[in-house]
Amino acid sequence: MRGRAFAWANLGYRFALHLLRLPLRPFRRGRDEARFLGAVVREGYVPLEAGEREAFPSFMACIGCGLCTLACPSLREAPRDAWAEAWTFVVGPSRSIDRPALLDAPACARCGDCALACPMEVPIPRLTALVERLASAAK
Amino acid sequence: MNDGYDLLVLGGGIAGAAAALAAARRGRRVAVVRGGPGATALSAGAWRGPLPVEVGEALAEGGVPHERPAGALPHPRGELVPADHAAPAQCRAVPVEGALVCGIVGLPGFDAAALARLWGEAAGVRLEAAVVAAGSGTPAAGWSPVALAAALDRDPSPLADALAEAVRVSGATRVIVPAVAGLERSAAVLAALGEAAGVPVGEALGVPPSLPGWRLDRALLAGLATAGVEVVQGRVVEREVEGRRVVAVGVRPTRGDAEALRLEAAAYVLATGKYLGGGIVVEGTIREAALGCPVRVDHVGPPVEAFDALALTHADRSLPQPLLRAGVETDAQGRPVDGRGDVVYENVYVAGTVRAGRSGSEPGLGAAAKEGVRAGEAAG
Repeated sequence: MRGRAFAWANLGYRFALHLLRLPLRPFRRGRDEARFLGAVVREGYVPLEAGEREAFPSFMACIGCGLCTLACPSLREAPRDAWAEAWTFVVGPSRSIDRPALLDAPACARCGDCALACPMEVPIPRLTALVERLASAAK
Repeated sequence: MNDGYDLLVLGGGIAGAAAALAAARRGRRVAVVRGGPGATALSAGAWRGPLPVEVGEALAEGGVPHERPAGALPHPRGELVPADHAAPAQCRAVPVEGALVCGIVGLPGFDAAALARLWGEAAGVRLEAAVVAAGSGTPAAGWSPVALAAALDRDPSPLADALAEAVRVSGATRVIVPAVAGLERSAAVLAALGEAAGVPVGEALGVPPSLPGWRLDRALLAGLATAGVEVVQGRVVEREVEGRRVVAVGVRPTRGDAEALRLEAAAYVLATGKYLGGGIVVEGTIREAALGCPVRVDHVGPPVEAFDALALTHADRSLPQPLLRAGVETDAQGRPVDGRGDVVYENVYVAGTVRAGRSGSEPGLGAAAKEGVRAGEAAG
């Protein structure tokens, strides 16, 4: 009971603080954003660009069937450790993956054979471009 | 680019390929519109049901002739799967007394000792188990099936030598390896392995991404090319209808930004698969994607457009799920019908898992191939 009373009081206090700060918002915007981005970048996250955010739902259609890995000529020529479970590459942006390690992976030639093999029409070359950008940004 | 086909097949899985082959055999001018590999390319490699003669010939032409296996085929889940037909690589993997189940160092999902016990119990025979290295180049993170298959394509000799040694030690009469023996050159890889081992070397069934399924899909494409069937990579995005006939379809090519094609045909086969192939799409409502045929869900009753999603599943997951059986209802000749049983398109024939009552999760291939041939003959 006391815990609940404290929680309500705390909530009220925070909300009052929030109301008081509202007029200051236009001046604080840059600072808050910088603080947020600073924390996120330290964690190894990289902000997505507008086009990438737009394409994200189509990436998430991946069902992990792995047909793309069978179609990829780069994978055949140079199987490397980073590619051992290559379809995690496709669902990768949503998972915790070793991004710098992906830089050692064979370069994607953007031939598009993977996308042709994808039953869910995931635009895999766009996704590869995204993961390569994230990997080099996080390096 | 075309002055009209006799038959345009929408969908290039097993049902669509069978329809195209059947019509091509009758001398018709046929094209297949194919978005990409679908459920057929994910099959494990056990063909259940009939193998129509034109499909069998096309598979042989494509380098994957199918035979009758002497028994049930070993699946890496630990069970034996009955099959009526299979590629020679799978047929050689029927567990027999004294066979050696051979795992590969660094390849997950194939525990040779456990599988030897499970398959041995199921088949009533005694199986040996061993684990060998496919050469010295095992990646630190282990093999993926495709990386190993590609490595064996390039040079099967390290695995061949290891298998020969394992056979010498165990005195095995045959060897069962995981389905990784080659991607493009599997026949040559398996021949090299068998020659070195001195006994038949067979592959267990595949799990997605399944190499036996992938080879089957490639073989179908090769067989279609040999039969003179044109394959258009793309998906149907538009349709032109006059009365109760489809006159033409607009196809958006899958590769690049090529312009949409307009393809005309006298008759059409709808064999676009279910959820995996993209034939049936659920986006708020449930619909048939290519030609807009009404969709029927068993216990909702007549074909529907708006539906309650909860009506499509049973809470008990062991029961057959109505969602998996949703699809296009047909008349006796295989033409799509609406809720009143009236034919929607007189020149369209439906085959494979896009049909109502056919579950995409059913094992088989044979039933879809037979339906495809029937549709191809009816339409051609």
